[in-house]
Amino acid sequence: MLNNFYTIFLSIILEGLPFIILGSFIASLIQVFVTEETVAKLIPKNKFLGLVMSASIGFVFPVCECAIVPIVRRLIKKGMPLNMAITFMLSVPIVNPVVLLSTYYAFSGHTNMVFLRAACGMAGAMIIGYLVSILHEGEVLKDSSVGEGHCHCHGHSHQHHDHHDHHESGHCSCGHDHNHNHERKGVILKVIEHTSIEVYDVGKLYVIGALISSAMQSFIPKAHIIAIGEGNLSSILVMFALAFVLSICSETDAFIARTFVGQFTTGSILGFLILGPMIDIKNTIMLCGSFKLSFVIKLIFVIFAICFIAAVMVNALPLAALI
Amino acid sequence: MKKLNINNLIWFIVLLCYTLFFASLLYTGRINLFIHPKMHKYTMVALIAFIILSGFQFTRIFHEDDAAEIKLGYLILILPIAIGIAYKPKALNGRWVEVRGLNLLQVENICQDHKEKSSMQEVVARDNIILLNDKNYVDTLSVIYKSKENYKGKKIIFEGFVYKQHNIGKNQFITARTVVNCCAADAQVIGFICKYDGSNGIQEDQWVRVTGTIDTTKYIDENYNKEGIIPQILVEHIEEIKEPENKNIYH
Repeated sequence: MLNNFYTIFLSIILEGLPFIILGSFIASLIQVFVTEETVAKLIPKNKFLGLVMSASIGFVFPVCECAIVPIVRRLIKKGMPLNMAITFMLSVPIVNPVVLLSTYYAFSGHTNMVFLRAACGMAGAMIIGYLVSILHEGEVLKDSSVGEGHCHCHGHSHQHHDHHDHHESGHCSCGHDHNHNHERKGVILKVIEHTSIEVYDVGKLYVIGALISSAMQSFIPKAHIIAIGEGNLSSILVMFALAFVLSICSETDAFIARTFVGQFTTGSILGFLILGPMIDIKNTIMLCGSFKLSFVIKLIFVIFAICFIAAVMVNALPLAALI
Repeated sequence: MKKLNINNLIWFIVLLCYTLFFASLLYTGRINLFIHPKMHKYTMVALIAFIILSGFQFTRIFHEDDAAEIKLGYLILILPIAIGIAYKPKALNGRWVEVRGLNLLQVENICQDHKEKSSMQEVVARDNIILLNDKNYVDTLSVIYKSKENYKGKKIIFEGFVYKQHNIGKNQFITARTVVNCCAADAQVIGFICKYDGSNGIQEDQWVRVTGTIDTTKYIDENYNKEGIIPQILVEHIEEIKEPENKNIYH
């Protein structure tokens, strides 16, 4: 029994760490090369246009849900509006080429599932991004979330009281505020340095998430979850519970989902495919590390609500017949 | 003189451990127990990243000491490595099947239409015997589940581990394989029900090679309260075999 637990745990770690590193690396590139001015210039004036834009980035940005958290918190730090950042975070793991392709293979013969997943994922992400930005006022990131505590980046001459000032202003002490300190260093070293900090910050939370997820997978029989029911609404709850607990990478979840075709309603399977990439145990833990708890709770609530509505709609509409 | 920075030192050690851990898993091939070979390139990239990060961190061991407390995060990050060293990795076993559930009625959903014709022609071509191996296992098995009536009476040979589900007959057992799409977390168990009068003498988790003919049987899935007809193999010959090197099928 423990044997299975260890195997699942290590396999989640081995599968995910490369992507944690990748995400940290991209986040560091953003940190070092992208200025607030650039971000401000790129953001459309029209709010709706902004949401559409951030929901579509995934098509050319093949990053799954493990790698997205460090990138998003860095973008928020750089001044990306909350609604866009959240939409970006939720849609990228769904509408990216690798995920859609694997969905296509898994549901061969039901190609409509690919379109339904992409459409519901994008629309859902936009609505959720919009709603949480209205629901939550003020700062969303924890003051100390982005690398301060153990910031290695001050030069030797850097004084300690400066460090405390940064804390109060809620900015990363390793950011633009004292870029002059970095001038002497090579750009490459700066990127490595930030990657290292991000890997630590996100990696430790990822390990905790993987631990909980693998424990639940190895000790709670799937039959108990399935026993909740297969009715129109209860099947959706079952699939949501599975998506949240299993924490499967969005690039492979379609292969799991297809085994439920015929047993569960189409809406519930779609719900599994859009909820899983948006939120699961390990992402919740990673989010809690960067975002304020009150915000994370609101976000999870809105995600569940919107995905539930999407799943119910698919069940109710004649759409299901297409699949 | 510069002072030792404890936090930087520990972080260096953690990174070094990850470097060695990833390197040894790749070198010994034990990584195969955990993730799909198609994912190995990412593991390789991670290994290179860890080498660079530890090299960089090495230069910082004597960097300014901000006298911070030692961070708990390092302990958490070292946990996977501690487990990886302390326990000899094994493939998922029969207990896993019980927790994960084995839903034979769902197997035909796995069948991918475009593969149905081509793969079967290939498999059946030789001597009219269906011979399953790691490569064709999933496709062929799902085709047989889907079009069971067409394959009735055909001869079949396959290997797998024995699993005795409580809701099947005394003279039946399941010969199963674990299929992995990406990492062990998405592992699913599939297989054939085998009908054999000497079933009692066969131990669970034992690896066997089964020769038999395809038939069908009624099967009740308790989780879903559903019943259906699925293929069943009438065993003509069964032999115990050694556990294979690759217990998982990577699909």
